[in-house]
Amino acid sequence: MQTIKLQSSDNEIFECDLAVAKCSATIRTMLEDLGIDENSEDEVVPLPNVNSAILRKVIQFCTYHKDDPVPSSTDDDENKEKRTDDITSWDADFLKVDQGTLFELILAANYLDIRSLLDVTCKTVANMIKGKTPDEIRKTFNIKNDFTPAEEEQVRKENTWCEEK
Amino acid sequence: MDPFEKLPEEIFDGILRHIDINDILFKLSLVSKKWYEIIGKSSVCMDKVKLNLRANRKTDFKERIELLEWMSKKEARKYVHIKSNCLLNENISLEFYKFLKTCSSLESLNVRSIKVDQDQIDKFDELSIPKLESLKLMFVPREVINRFILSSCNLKKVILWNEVPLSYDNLNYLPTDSTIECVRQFMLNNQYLEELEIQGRANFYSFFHQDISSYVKCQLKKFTLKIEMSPQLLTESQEDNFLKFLSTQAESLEHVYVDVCGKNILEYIFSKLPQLQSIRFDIELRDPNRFDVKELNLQKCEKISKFELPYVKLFDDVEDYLNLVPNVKHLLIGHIVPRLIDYATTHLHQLEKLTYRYDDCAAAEGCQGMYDNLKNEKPEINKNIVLSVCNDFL
Repeated sequence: MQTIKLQSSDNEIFECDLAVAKCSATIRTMLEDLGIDENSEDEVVPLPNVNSAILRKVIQFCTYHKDDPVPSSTDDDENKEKRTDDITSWDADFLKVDQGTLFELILAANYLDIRSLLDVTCKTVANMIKGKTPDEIRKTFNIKNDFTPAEEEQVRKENTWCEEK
Repeated sequence: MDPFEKLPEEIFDGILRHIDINDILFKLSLVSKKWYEIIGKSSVCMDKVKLNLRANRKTDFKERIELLEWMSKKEARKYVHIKSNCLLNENISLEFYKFLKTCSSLESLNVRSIKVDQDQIDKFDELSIPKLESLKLMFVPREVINRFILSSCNLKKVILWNEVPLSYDNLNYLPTDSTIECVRQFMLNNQYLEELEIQGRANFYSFFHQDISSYVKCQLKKFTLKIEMSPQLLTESQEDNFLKFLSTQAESLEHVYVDVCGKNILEYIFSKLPQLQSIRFDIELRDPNRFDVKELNLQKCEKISKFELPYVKLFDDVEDYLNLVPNVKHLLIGHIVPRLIDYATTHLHQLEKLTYRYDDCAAAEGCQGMYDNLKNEKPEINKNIVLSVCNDFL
């Protein structure tokens, strides 16, 4: 089986299956555009935006999902509210991580362009937000309320004029 | 620190996409200024929201002005859809107009009533809403209509309803030079226009008092003209201008809805619009506008699948029209009578829906009963017709 070497921002080298690495559209494009020869064993793909802890998680995710069918991008309706209750138990377990790691995974999924990882991490964050009051949301993510009472009142009023299209 | 601050905006969209719009508005946007701002910029979110400038208390103008000022601030939400369905006074009309100037993302706008103090008309100055695609105006003064129709070059759908609630025969509807120029610019600028609806005499005059055919850049699919005036008041030159305009749209028009028309317009619509699928004639064949459809030079239109003739009451007249639309699927007529059932079931084999406007229960029930009997007696007739009443008198 063909393998490829990936280098994290903290210079750790990960050797993984080519098929696993190719879950990332960014790596696919790098291999094609930059003309990195898939056959040369010594070639290393640098990933300066992903540290070793996160890269290890990403490789774990892609190894598990490497044979998943590629979802067609045409059938996802941008405007429809998407389901968030369809996260598989493996993914849910995989994402039982601290909040910092979860957000780093989102950034890595975005940088490496791995749609399935980005989708499931965004869903997980959406689930952390759903059903909460503004104050509970602030507590969950350690956010400071910087509205003055008057401003908060204006936002409330503005919202009473908004309706679903 | 807010972990969301590190996320690029498009990822925020990816998260918001999974959350109900009411939760986004009433909970998420109250979390912090940053969240309010991100939500306001998110096209995923703002595309689902319509700002509706109704008020809970009709007189509460002060509160509305304060809020419009607040929303005009730089960090305001990027509204994509705005509807104002209440009557605005002069003050709030102006504030609303100023607010619209800040709405650079706006794609659809529906305004019902703007009031202008004539001393302040200069304050309704040039307006630019570059992304605007859908515009609907009602009870808006002419000068302001002119601003709106020139606010975008990307208009796809424009609906201009009456400027004033009622129109009278003895008023002067002639357009000013500046209105003529605005209509000219509007037609020149908007090559993407697909749907145009013109209601009321003032709007009609502003478009068809002169010949606009040489400025027209669009290819309309749908055109509606509701002037609500007697056909005798339509001058020869207006009719001529209107026909010239129609001729520029002949290759694209699929739906036509007209109310004031005489023989010439009728002939044109039936014989010169090859793409036409749906017609509505709001005409009454009554003296002095009475004419015999058979005497006109009308061709059969095989393509017409929807035909509406709400004011033609005599069956003989209706029949003359129906002979022209053999493949009609949806039919709307004024009265239902047994002869119509007889005709429709034997001649209109594609007909699926027959709607009548007058709720004369006894006659309608009689027709339904007659149809049910016919279905049993004559197996060869069209048995797929659904009869229903449409009460649009409100």
